[in-house]
Amino acid sequence: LKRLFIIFGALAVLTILVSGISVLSWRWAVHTKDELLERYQQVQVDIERLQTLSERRSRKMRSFLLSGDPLHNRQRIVAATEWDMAVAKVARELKDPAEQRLLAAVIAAGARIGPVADRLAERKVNGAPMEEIQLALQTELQPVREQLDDAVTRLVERVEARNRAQTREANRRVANAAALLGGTIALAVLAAMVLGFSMYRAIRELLAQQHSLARAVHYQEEVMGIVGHDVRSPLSAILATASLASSEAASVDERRRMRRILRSARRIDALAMVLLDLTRFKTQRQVSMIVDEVYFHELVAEQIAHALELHREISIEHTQSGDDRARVDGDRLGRAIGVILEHAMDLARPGTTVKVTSCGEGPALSLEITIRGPPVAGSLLVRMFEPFGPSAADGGTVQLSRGLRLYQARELVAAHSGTLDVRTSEEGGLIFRVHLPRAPSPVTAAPSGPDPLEPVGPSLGA
Amino acid sequence: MSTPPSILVIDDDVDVRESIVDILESRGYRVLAATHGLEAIFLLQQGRERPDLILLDMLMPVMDGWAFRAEQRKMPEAATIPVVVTSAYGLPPERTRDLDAAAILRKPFEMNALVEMVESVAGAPA
Repeated sequence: LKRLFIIFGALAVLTILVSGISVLSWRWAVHTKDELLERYQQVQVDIERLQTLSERRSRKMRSFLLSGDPLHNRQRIVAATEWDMAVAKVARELKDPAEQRLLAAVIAAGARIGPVADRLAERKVNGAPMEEIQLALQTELQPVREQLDDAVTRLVERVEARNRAQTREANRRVANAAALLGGTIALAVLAAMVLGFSMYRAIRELLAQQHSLARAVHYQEEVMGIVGHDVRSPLSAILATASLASSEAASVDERRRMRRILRSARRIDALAMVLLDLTRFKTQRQVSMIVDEVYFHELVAEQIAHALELHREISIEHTQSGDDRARVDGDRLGRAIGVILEHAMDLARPGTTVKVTSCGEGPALSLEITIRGPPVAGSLLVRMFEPFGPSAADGGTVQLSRGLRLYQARELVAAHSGTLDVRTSEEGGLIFRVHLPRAPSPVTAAPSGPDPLEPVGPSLGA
Repeated sequence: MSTPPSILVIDDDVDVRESIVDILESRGYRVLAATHGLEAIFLLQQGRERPDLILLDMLMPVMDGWAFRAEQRKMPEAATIPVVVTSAYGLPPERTRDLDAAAILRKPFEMNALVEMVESVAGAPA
């Protein structure tokens, strides 16, 4: 899709450039044509004016010779002057050598009229008879006049022919430019259609892949949820039977073996619950809780007892204070406390004492677990509650189940509208702190944390 | 000597069912067992023994926990028997309310938790 966008962008830029050039070319061709037509129309007008002036000049000459009126003689002289000026103007406009040669013929013919007219005028003034004058008009002035008309006609024809040729050329250029522009637009439309179709297909394919991936993820989550759920029935049988067998065991060894089975089953149960809760977090963004009357100190003490079974080399000092009645999901909260406690015990130095303080005061409950242990790097502390992050207890190595369980513990505390955080203690170890309301506001609460299967940013607690 | 309380265990998982039966019998309870809701309804209809408590699994073939509870409420002689629901996962709150259960025991449970729950609802054998 990215490649298609780049191609589309490049083609769009190219199309815009070519279209721009085509438009400019077309505009230039039209402008040139208009300018050319205007210029040659002007030349045409000027040449036609030459013809008019030539005729006027002859007419005035004829009028003067036939009437002898001096006014006509002056008008003839004025007409001759205007003709000279018009010739000079046309001479400036004509650049073609052949046209200039034709103009020269016109000028020469015009120049021959002047002396003939002047001579006739002089004879008229000197009193020559009318018959003589009329004859002279026919024999002397008329041939010169015809030569001038011929010269002007040839020039006009030449200019008109060139005008037509130039107009045809200008029209051809305009047509070519228009064809180029039309072709460019057609190509652009075609390219846009092809690219649009390709993009449509690519996007459709991406959406199909996304849908397929979502289905696969959903399927995996469903499988996780079902397996997590179904594994709890056989676990029930194992736990119930092992606890019964343990209570009825005749020897110490037998009881120890039964306790080992119980511990392992509880760990499997905890992992199954992680699967179930993560599936719920992922699919429903919430966890269903069974809220009941629970005694918080007892809940903590129970988890301490389990933790001591795993860490006999460490002792725990549990301090209780205040009213510990609470309405919480005892199973889930107990599990969260168990995970935190277990993690704390992993970090504690052998032979040391872990201090646990559970407190009920007003509408709140709190738990503080203080351990003495090796210093924990700040980076590990920050990432302690990431589902797939490194664990402080493992010296920075990634331990999947521990990260997931700590993440789940934080989410379970958050589901009770509480917070879980950790900080370095002054003695070099750590202090885990849990703060909870005595009763969470909603029975079913949404987790506070990010999506467990998405990357998680640095966070110290819920 | 008084008669010990009677418990009806309804669970389709044979291992879970037998584990519960073993624990409760070892503690002196009289125990009836059914593999699904319909079988439990037959047992209640026969009326040979009125249980003091029903331990009810929810997800079962033939007749699940919700259907059983609906049928049980229609039976005058059995409607008042308290029910403790055993579930492998937290049930939706609205569905829990519909069940009107005396308690919910989350699977997997250990002997002590089961016995404490049964004692609190049905009483301890003398």
